[in-house]
Amino acid sequence: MTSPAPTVFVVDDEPSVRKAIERILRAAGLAVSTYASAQDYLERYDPSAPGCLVLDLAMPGFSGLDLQDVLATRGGAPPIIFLTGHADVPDSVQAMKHGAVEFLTKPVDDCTLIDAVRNAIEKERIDRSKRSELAEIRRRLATLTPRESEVLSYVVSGKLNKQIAAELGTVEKTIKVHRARVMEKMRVRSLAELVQLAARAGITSGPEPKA
Amino acid sequence: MNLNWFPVVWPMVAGACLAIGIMQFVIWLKQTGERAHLAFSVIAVSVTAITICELMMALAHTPAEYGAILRWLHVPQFIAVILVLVFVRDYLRAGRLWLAYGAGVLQLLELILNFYFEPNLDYWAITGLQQIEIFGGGTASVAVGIASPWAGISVMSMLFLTLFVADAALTNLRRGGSVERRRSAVLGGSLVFTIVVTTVNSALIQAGILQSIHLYSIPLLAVIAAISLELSADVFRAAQLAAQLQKSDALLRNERHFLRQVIDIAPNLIFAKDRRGRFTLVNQAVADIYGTTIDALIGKTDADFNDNLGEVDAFCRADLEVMDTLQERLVPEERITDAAGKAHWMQTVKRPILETDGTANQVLGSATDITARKQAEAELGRMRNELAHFSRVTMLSELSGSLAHELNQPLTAILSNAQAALRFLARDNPNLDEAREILQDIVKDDKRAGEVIQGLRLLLKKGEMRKEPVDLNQVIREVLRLVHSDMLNSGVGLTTEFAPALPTVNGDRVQLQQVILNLVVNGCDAMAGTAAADRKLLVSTEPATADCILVSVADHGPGIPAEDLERVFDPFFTTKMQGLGLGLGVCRTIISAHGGRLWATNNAGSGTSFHFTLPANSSDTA
Repeated sequence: MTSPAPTVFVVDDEPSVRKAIERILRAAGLAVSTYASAQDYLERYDPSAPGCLVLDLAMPGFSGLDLQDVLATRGGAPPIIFLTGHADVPDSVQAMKHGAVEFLTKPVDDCTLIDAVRNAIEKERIDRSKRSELAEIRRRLATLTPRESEVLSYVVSGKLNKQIAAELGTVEKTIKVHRARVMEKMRVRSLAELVQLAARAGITSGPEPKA
Repeated sequence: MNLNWFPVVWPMVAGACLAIGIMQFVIWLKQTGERAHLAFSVIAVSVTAITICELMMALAHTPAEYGAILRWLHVPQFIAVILVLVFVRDYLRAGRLWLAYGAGVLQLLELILNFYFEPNLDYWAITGLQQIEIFGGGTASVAVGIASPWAGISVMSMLFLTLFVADAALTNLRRGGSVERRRSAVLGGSLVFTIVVTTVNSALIQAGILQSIHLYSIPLLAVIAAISLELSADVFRAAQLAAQLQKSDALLRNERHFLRQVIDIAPNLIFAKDRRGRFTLVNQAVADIYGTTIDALIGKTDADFNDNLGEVDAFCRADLEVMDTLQERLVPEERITDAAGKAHWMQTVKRPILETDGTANQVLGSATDITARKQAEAELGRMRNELAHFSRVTMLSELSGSLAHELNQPLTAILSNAQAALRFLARDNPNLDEAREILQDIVKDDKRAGEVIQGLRLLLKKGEMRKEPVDLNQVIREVLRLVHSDMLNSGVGLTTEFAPALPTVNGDRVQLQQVILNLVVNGCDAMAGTAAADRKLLVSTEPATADCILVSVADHGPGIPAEDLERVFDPFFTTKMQGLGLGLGVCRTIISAHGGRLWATNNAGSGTSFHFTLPANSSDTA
């Protein structure tokens, strides 16, 4: 699974600033894509494209903060670095609360900007790989039968085969077969590995106690 | 031997005539200078000569002597007749000319023929002399001979003369005045009578019907005396008139003195000048300002008292224009430097002094010293400029955040561009094209920042009001650039409707920018509570009339209550939390100082429009 090179998406209504920022990032060897407005960006928005967003805070009509809100509802949004002419405290607080990775003041030093962009891209790469790992685990989990899922949750919660058989009202041998199939479908060789995967998928305990 | 009175009386008559002649000659010489008086004096002298001839004829011993004297008598007669014609014509100013010429030509013919014939015109021949008794005693010689028919010419000439005199006298009689009537009666009556009597007398003597001496002298003396009396009456009348004139001259002098005091009490400079700029009249105020006396000014020009040639030149030009156009002119303000070198400002009215022929060779002026008023106006202007400046600074400080942003944008672009260029150049194979492009962008952004700073500096500058031709569309664009980001922040959508080819206005660019800035900022502020989609500001320019430009700024705010539409221009009236409420008042003052009007109306839909008009410059387009 080869992902495309990360891109920096620059959104600024001011053409000269937009162009200058693009140049700095290109000079640093980054792929850049520019947008004149938040609407422009949304129209061409591709959640699968890796990268980060350098976003001007004050734009006519649809502001940077508005775009941040819209992206949050869609999910899978790239990390956002805000650029602003004057650092307005309430604005920066709102931006950070909503998950902005950086809040930079214009004029911005090249190293500061590039570092922030690199960090954001790295973060996004990690997030993205985490997300794809999780998706894989979920995909494997989806191949389990309901009974195998049940068995998995008991296994993860640390129950012995004998205990599971008693809980489910069956024999230990059957449980062993289920357990082997789960290991095979989840493509793990050890119990430790299985528990780790399950934890990543958010399965940490057995089904709700039937009490 | 009887007592012969004749040789005694006749010389007396001659002497009287001569005396009258001399007297009239002296009068002519000394007083009147009129030709009539000279003519009359010569007539009197001629009559003297005729009288002497008569006397000599009466005392003649031989027919030859008698004939020769009679011949020479024609000479004074000729002179007398010709001068009577001249005198009557001059004195009565009447009489048909052809009659006069007729008499004159016949008289001349008579004179020529008289010297052609022997012994004279009157007789073919004088055969002898007869001694006759004359009335009152004594004897006199009378010719006996053959009368010449040519003597008829003399009669004809006298007829013409009589007709001419009678005609002139009648014409003058009809003219009415009592003096004229008397003159006609005396002159016409005596002359006609005398001429008829003497002519008939001499004709009868020649025809031999009447045995008498020639009797020209007595009636002629009478007529001379009568006319002399009349002429003397004229002289008396002239003397009377002279006395009257003297009296009215005194009155006139009093009147002049009175009027002189009237014009001297005026604080205005009152003067009259001729075409060469020489004073023909000045009052004390003019003398005071030039540090001299009224008498010293008369006949002199401004240049004699004022070293400032520019001023003098301006006065002369205005004076000549008034005299040439015959139009009164108000010079709203002109400068005059006084004797101490101090400048005074004057408001002057100049009016042509019309001659009877409708032209003007003098100009009358009255100048009011408006120096104090000018100073007050200047002080007021200075205060207005201070207030305008104060209001600008206040407004700009309110806008400072937005203005900083407006500067920050190009600075951001410049920094990033420069750093990008450094990176491009630091590579192993430097991208020179890219670097060049970047440098061009840096230049562009730097200029943009410079413009913003320039605009700010102008607005912050404290200065005199300075008028120049200004393109309102351009001024508005400059202002909108300054508030661009402020409008972004407050989410205001801007629409502009600029009339193309708008004439320029004469104004102070900074103060006009201030007015527009104020109206635009007010409009944006008014829409703070308006729904985001409706926050629209319309700025428009249009030619309101041929010589007037209308600028409007329309917002979609809540509007202004009708009763407050005028009050918003009052000082300290404000609806804002911050701000002194001076802005609109100052704006109105600025527009008024530009000869325009600023007012507010509520829109048909929503919001308020502020409008101002400014007088447009004629015949040039921006």
